Amino acid sequence: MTDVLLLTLVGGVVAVDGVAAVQSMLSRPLVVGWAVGMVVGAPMLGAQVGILLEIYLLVAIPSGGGRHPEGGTAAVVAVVAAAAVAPSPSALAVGVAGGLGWGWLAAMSQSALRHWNERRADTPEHHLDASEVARAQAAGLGLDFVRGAGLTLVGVLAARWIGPALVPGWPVGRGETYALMALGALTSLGVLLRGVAGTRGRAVLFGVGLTAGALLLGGSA
Amino acid sequence: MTALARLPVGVRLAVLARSLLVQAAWNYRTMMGTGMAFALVPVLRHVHGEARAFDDAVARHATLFNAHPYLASFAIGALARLEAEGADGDTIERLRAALRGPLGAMGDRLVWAAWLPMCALLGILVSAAVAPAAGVALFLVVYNLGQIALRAWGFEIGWSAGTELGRRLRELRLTRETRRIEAAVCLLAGAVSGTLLTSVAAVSSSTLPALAGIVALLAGYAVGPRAWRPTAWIVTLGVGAIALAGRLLPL
Repeated sequence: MTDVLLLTLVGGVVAVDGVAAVQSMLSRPLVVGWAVGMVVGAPMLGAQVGILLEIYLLVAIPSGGGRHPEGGTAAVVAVVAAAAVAPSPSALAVGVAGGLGWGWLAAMSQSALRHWNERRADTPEHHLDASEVARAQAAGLGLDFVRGAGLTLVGVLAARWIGPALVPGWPVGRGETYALMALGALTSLGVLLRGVAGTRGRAVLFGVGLTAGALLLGGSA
Repeated sequence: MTALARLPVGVRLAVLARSLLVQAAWNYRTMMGTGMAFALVPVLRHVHGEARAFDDAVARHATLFNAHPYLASFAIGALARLEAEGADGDTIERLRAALRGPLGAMGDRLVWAAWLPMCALLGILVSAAVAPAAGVALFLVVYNLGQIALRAWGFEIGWSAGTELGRRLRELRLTRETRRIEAAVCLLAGAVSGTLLTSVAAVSSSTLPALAGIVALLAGYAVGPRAWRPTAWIVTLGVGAIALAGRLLPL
């Protein structure tokens, strides 16, 4: 029960860090995956889920008012779901898929909060004074924390309940499961490259990186 | 720079600290307008005291505004300068309107599409090569040094430029710096791709998954940003389908 409470608080903090305050990237799946892995006693699995989710979500740019999957709360739920079914070969897949799905739910709740924030925003009929501005800011932050914490609590409980139900029939081996998750991550890397590559010099840089990664780090993933 | 020296350090630090919350009340009507007013309150109070002009200024800045959250500090600095100089409301509104689009687009490309991926890919590689804790620590330290420096520098540039901020932004050549970071992203994305492809080959008994990985990488590149949503949905629904098939079918 203590860990559920801790994870709920983590969910609230990372939800706020994601957009409303600081954006220090404590909320990135890379960070949350590792941290939550430590909390649930599965540090390596947490790191793996976090890294894969990070690659998936790197191309989901949180620009303007666009709706994008929220990585922080999603990563908390993802690692809890993966740990709930470990050591089944399905752990990585359950974690990544659960995280991606939960990220969309979190995005919808964030969108609802933004609509709610309109109630305390400036209108042509009523201009805000300094105290109303401060209250609107405090309300936005507080509600974002509550949203993230609540979403995480529901997600953690659901992950622990639904996750194990998926395990018994999982028909794919550990290696193949990892390969399937890696395929999605490689697609995301391709998307990322589309935005930054395009010249011969950058193609050479990519090739150098590819060779170095394959030769030096191939066995460490 | 004379005007900059007249703004007390305490006021500048208060504005910078408040600018960390510029998106706290983000909404679809005024976007980060409320947050901009909140960030500017220390300057407005310093300039106008508690007079009627202070309320007017707060109201002026709480209207529609949007920018990249880090690059908003450029606008905050420039708008603070205009308020300190006693510029009229129309001049301030014209500058706010002129900055909305460019600061958003520049920030999206510099931070979300280059700086964040570069730092994250570096963190991922160090996580794989050394230890996850080392990768996470490196990611957070490098990323935040950049974002805090960008916010502080942006405020200084904005304050010193005032209405000339648009020209100063062009002189800064942020696009050139963005291109350099993008080049680093190419290198690091290559390294992460190489790591993933070889690890996929290592855990499989055939070369087929690694070949599929190369196809996935090329497909992502060919389709571009339109590919990531379907990819995420395919993975999510695919995992659900595999789990369901495993339970219902005698595989």
